[in-house]
Amino acid sequence: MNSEELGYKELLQQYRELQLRVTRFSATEQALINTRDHLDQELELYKRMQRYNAAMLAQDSMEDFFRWVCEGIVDVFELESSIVGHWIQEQNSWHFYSEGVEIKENANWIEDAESLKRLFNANESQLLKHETFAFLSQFKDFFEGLLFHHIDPKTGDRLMYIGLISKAQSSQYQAISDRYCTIFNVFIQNVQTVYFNYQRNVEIQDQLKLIQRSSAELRKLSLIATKTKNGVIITDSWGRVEWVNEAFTKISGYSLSEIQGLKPKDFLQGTQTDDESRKILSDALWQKQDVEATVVNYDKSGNPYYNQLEIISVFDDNGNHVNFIALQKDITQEIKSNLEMRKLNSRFALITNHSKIGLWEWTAETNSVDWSDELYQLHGISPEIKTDLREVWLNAIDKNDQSRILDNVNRLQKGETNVIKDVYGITRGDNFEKRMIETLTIAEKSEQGKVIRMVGSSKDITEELQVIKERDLSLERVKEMQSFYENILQHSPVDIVVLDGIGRMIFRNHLFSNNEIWADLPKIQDISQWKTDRDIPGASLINAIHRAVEEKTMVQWEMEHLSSNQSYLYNILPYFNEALELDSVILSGVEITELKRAQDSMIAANSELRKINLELDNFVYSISHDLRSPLLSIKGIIALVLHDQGLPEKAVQFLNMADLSVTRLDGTIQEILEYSRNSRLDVLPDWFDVSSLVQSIFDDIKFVTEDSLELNLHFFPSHMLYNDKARISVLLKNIIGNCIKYRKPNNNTVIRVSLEQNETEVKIEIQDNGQGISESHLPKIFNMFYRGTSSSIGTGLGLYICNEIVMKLNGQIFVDSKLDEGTKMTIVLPQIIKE
Amino acid sequence: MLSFYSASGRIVNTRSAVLEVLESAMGNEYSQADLLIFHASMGHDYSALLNEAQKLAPHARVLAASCCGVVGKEGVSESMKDIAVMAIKGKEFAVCSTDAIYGSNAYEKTLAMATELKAKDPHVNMVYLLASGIDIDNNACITAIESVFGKEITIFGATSSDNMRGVVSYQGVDGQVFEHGAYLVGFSDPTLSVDTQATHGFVAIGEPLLVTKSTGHIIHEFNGRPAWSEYCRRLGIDAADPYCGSSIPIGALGEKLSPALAKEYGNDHILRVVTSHVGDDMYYATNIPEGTELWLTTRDEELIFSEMDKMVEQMVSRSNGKTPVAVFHADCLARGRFLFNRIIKDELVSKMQFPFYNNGECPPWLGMYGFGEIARLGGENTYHNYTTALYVIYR
Repeated sequence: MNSEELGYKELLQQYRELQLRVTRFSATEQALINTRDHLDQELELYKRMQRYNAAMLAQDSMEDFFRWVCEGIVDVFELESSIVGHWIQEQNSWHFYSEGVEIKENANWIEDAESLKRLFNANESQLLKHETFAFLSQFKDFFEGLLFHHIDPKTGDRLMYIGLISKAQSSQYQAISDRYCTIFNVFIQNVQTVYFNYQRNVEIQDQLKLIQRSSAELRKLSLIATKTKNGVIITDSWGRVEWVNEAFTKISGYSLSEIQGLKPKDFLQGTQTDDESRKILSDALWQKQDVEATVVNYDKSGNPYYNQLEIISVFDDNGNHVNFIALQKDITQEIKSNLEMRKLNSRFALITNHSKIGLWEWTAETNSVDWSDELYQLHGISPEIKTDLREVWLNAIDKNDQSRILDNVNRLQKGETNVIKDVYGITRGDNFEKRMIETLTIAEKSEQGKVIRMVGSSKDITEELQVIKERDLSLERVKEMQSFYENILQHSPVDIVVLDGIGRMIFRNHLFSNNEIWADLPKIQDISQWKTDRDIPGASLINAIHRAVEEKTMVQWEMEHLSSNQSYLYNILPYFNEALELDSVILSGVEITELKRAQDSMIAANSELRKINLELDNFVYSISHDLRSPLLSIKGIIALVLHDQGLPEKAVQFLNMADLSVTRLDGTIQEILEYSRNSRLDVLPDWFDVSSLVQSIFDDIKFVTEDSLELNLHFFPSHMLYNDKARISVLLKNIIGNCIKYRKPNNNTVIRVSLEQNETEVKIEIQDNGQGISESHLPKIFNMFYRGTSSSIGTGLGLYICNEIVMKLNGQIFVDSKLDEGTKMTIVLPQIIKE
Repeated sequence: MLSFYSASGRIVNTRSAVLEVLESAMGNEYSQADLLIFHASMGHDYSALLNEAQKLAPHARVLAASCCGVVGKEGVSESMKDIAVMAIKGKEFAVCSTDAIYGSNAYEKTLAMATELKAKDPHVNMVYLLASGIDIDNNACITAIESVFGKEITIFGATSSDNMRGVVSYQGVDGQVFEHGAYLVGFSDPTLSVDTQATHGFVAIGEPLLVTKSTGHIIHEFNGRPAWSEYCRRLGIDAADPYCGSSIPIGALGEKLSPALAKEYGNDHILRVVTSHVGDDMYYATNIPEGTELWLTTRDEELIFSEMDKMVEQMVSRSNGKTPVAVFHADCLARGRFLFNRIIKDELVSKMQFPFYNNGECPPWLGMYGFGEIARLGGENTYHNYTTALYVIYR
């Protein structure tokens, strides 16, 4: 190697060394930077400490304070986690706060804290190495840390501050050097200072709060004492009044100025204040004890009132008695209410006893059940029974009902429902009789919704159920009957419509279901208001219904169906209930088309007949009248001929026979005329004297015989009657004529005429003692041309005419006769009212 | 139409942290969010994070990734308890995820996700990729997505990290937490476009390390020597460290760029990170063929600032006056407090945010300090390390 080569080699070596020095300069420079960074960081730590000091002081609670301390340790020292342990001597317990590590206040942590306390001096920072952690059960995962613990000499409280880096994260963190201890000391001393300031601050704040609370409490108490409705008396230790509130003055009538310095017993107690209460109060006050009592006090006006009294003895901090405070409540009203309540309870018990209602009550607090005497009776068991009443009750319930009843009770107990009504069967305990019980159970809940009480009533309704069963059966039968009759009505040939009290159609059979007239009935609420003047469909029906309701009678209503040309006749019958309210209106109708036609035909025929009768009457009248004139002429001629004295005896005999025949024929014609007159002429009422009329008739006809005739009038003379005199005259003449005509020969004939009348009718009786009429003839005597025998001297028209006249006068005629004893004719006529 | 809301902060308790950032981002309307993307540093409980977020926004897809610190419109925070969220309302997106993704299967796993994503929403016009930052081949991931959506689709995103230890990183998807997972969010709002760019400001020093033996993304030997030992020897650090926490801040490896790309990039090298090693085998961030030269690099603070200014200036000039509706941001964890002091770091972030302000207000911003970044370079989707990468979304 030449020198040039040597020189090159040396140069290369120097270059390489230089290169190394240059590159390694970076390492040196970095070391300087790291140092600078550490210094920077320390500066930063102090800055951060200041920040945390301020933050910690601002906290409201100890918990927040220590949480900030934990965060401060982590942040300021760039550690992974921190723990603050606080031993409170007074509570004899540790409290832990942490950041970055979960702490549970279990025995192991406490044990570790105690170990750290023993191992390291207090009041100076300690560097914790992983060798130390090996002895601590909860610290095994930690690599290194810082510790500072402090004991408060006054309170004995201890504070332990720990900063930690775990093994797992140690590579990420700066190793904790001794230098940190100094800064940790500073930090913790700052924390301690802040802590003590904080504690003092807290104490001051607490005292302030206490004072504020006390002040507020005092204000409230003062307010309560002043404003309460209860009376408050404050006395001195001797019981002399120092202060009373407004309520006391209101209750008692005494103002403070009136009673200040007096003892309440001297002005509140009176004759009704019982001695026992006085003694209780007196003893308690003497012994400075609290006492409660109810006494009768008297107000200023002397009126007694019940006073619920509570007296509190007040002692000062040294135990000296200073005051009595008496709270009094006027409970007069409550006591009265209690008395009233007792009365009510007594009445209630009376009612339940008489109504056979058994009562029970279950109370959650005692889980006990009480039964009333009536419930024992209802179950047929003795109140002396010692068995659990729930078992008795459960055993008594029918098996079929048990699960349902228990379910219901469970629902009540769970609060799912508040009230349950039920019916179930039981077997009585004494005679094993099956009974049915109706029960009502009510649950009472607390404010939290828990069931605290259940009360129930039980009533034996066996008989009621039987009645209900029978009633149901009856109703069933009624229903069947209703159905039966509805069926009949449905198939009835009569159209039946039923309206209810307000006019709604509630039934209709189907006979005339197409009859549209029913659709036009007014829809108003009161059928009695139905009436219309308007020309509307159904107007006549509406009015007919209205009339039937108004007059409370059946009304007939005819309807002609225009489209079918059919006619209907309806009976409208209103039905009123017991309260005389309209219940319903029944309309029953039949088709009368054929009837109507027949009626019309009959009316036409009657009209024709009347016409013919009239013509016949006229004819008869004319004939009779015309016939009578020649007869009277013949009779006159016969009388003239007989007047001639020279007539042979035989001729006289024949002439007398002719005269008799003519007389008979004239009588017959007269009667025909009377019948005709009766038929033709209207009734013409007028006043007339009945006695005169009877007497004149008797006088006219008594000369037909020389037999003894006697007329007895059994009514007042000049008795006036308002009626058709001509017809009454014919009537009486025929009857009195018959009395004479059919008298007993050789007997004194007595004709007795009596008359009675009232506001509505006139009764005339004509009685004789003549021949009488046999029973066989009696039914026929009023027939036209009926004569009892062929030898009868009458025409057979007299009684027929009498009957016709009585009928014309709307009266009646009766005959009562016995053969050989006589006859009594009775005429009853309605009074004719003069308009 | 998608709308974006963001918030960030440092809150110790994970559940409280989730609520607080959601309230900060969306007021009392957080329950209406459709997509939540969380970044949270390693002190948080990711499972609790996902569950709490899902509880508060029941209809939202919830995604999360671990990181070393966060950047939000509120600024930067690098502690163990950082959290940031981008909350999105709207239906024009789809999400796919996978577990057990490594360098060896990165292509297949990503291809499956991309295929599923396209099936779910064929109108996807930009893809957000978030994957584990340890043992992954990011170039394979990009190639797989492009094979489905084409090279023209913009891919942006990051790889999740831990606290720069290279031990583990977490990805969370709808209640599940993965250690080697990845998820894709395909945005399909046609009114949106994204502009991406990355910059680092490192310079190569000394002689390169020649990869003499490699398999895929694993380097076995440098210059014929065991790779990890040689690497540590060059860096002057202890090779016995099982993790890469010491090497990451100082061990950026540079690959030489073509002159054209170097010109656009403002740097001759594109940087790569090694996040893990197994013995002497080093897990590179992309595939690494044998014969590749890798330069050690060192930070040039002035260059970092000047390149940052240049990048932001270029992006703003490309915006044509539009203001962003949202900005996603991936920054290398080595560019945080481990590179600068805190004041300079805040200044750097402020410099990158301020030009995008609208009426004095920062747009919704979600950034993380992670292991890697994806942004276009030379028009192509490219994986970067040790960069600041901005993904500015315009409407």
